[in-house]
Amino acid sequence: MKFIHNDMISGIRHGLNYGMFLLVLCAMLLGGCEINRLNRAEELYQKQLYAGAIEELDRLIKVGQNGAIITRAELVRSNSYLELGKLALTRQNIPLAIRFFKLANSAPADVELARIYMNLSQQAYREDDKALAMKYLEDITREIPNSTLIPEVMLRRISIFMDEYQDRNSTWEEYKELHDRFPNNTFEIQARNFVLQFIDSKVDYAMILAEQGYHTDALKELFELARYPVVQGENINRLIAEVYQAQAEEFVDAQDYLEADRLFRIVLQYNPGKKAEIDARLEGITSLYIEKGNSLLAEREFDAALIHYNKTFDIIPNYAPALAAIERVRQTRENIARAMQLATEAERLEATQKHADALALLNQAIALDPLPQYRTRAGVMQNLIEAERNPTAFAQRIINEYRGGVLLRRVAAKRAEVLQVHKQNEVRDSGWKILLSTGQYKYEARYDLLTPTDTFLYVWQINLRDRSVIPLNRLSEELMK
Amino acid sequence: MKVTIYHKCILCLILFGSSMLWAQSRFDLEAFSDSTKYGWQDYRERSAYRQDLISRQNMLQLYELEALSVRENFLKSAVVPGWGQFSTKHNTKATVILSLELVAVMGSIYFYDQAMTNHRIYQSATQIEDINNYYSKAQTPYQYSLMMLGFGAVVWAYNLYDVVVSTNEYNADLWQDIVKRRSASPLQVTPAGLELRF
Repeated sequence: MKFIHNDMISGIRHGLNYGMFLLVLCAMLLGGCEINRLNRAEELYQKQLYAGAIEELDRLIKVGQNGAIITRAELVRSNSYLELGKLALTRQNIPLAIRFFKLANSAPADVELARIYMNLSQQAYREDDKALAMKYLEDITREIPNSTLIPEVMLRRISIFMDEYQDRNSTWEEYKELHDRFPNNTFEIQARNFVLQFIDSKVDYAMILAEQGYHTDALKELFELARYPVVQGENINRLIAEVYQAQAEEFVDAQDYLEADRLFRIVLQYNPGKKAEIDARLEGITSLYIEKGNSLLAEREFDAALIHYNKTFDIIPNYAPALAAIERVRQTRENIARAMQLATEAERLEATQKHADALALLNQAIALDPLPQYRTRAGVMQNLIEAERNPTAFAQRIINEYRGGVLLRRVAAKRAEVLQVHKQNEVRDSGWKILLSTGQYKYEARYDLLTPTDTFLYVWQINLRDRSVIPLNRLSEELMK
Repeated sequence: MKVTIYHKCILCLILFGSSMLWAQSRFDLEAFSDSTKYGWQDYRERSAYRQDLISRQNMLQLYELEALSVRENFLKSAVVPGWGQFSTKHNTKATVILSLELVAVMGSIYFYDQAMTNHRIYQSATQIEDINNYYSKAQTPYQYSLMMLGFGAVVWAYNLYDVVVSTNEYNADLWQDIVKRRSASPLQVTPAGLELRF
């Protein structure tokens, strides 16, 4: 009994020691837990021991496995740096404060950082170091683009651009951005005063561009100016109308009446006061439309011609010359279609050797639509008719009429030349002979001159269909040259 | 003088404190405030880091809703071994721990009961032979009972250790899962607002 009790007491004591050991183990386990390390760091942060908190958090972030705890640690670390930055600021240690705020890397830190940069910029400006002042302002716009100080920063930059560097372009670019991002902001309204110092010169520049014919560039400038409240809208619209009108007149000169008409109508949108003037100009254009349409009709550009004719109705409804012209287009189209039908019918008749009928149809087609190909085909039909009537005589006539009778003249000349060398009775002259050649409607024309010493044999092939004459030997070819 | 654990602890504390003091005296403010020490060489890199942090910050709320508390799980497993592991979805491990704990406790009770029965007989025995016999018969199951109790304690302790590790692992995996879900989702919450990806 005593032994058991002793054993029990000893067991319980061991158990207690063991329990203590386990509790210590558990405490260590929990203590090593990432969340507890984060909690410890947060406690340090709460106690304003920011450096200690940052050291602890840096270690946790370095070895931590849980991304959520690491993220929370990074947030606490950011806040710790922010507080350190504020402390440095209260102690006037600006460089250190800047570094801490950069390490904080958060929106509240940005606010502080922007404020520091702004103060530094103002200080540099007071010390007449404009370049340094500008650098600090650029730091704000570059590093803290969403800062609430940005409008003020931009105004200060505009001020330095104008007062220090007389840089109008940079001023204008900066002002545009200021207005686009913060329209009607107090600083934007102040910035207008700087821009007003040179805005008239920008308007003048646009008008010079327009005068020199660079209408697109001028309009680009004017439209850009019109977007900003530094010019009077009515004036700028009037100038835009002027540029459009000048551009329209150029298109009138270039006979592009459609584009001119479009631009004249735009002029009215920008300057309704010009209505009477533009209407008169548009009425003048109607006759130009008709002329242009007629020239397009002559080139068989029927659709384009109709567009021009119809365009006149926008200016003068039921304009009689345009109606007549449209009727002409319709009639011409009908004639062309009919001529094509007749030509097709003539082709069919030609295939059945009814050349006289085909010729009649082709002549009708020529009357409706005097196309060169119809004339050519009519000529061929005429040749075929004559070839069928008396091919030999037709062939002889072709030779006779060839290039104004050149062949007859040159053969006669050759004969005369031969007779100068030889006597009459020594020369044998075959005269012109027309012989059937190989191929339909093809004949040969021959002329032989024989002397005791020389022989001149001329021979040509004549195509009755198209009246072509082809030399069949070198001698004949020479004669034709 | 006998060196106790208490003395050892005091010694460790002094050493730790002096090392901290030494470290404090060598605190390098320049290095500590070096704005590039986290690898952000310029404002662009700072901005990129911040975007990433904000993006992760947006996921924290979701994480807090789904994450398990280590303390809560620790208490659960302290009361019922394996309960915390069940919460972290480590069901097999939880079953094994719970079973071992039950076997250990029941075995301990069983052997303790046997020991007490023999002990009672030993107390009522009048013959020297019976006294010796039942005394030894009471001793063996009692020792088994203690062994089983010890085993149960070891399992319980391991269970406590494991539940902490398991919960941390579960939470770490949960974060990864949230990040993955978010990156796969066509609808993103960005600092600029909602963003729908096609």
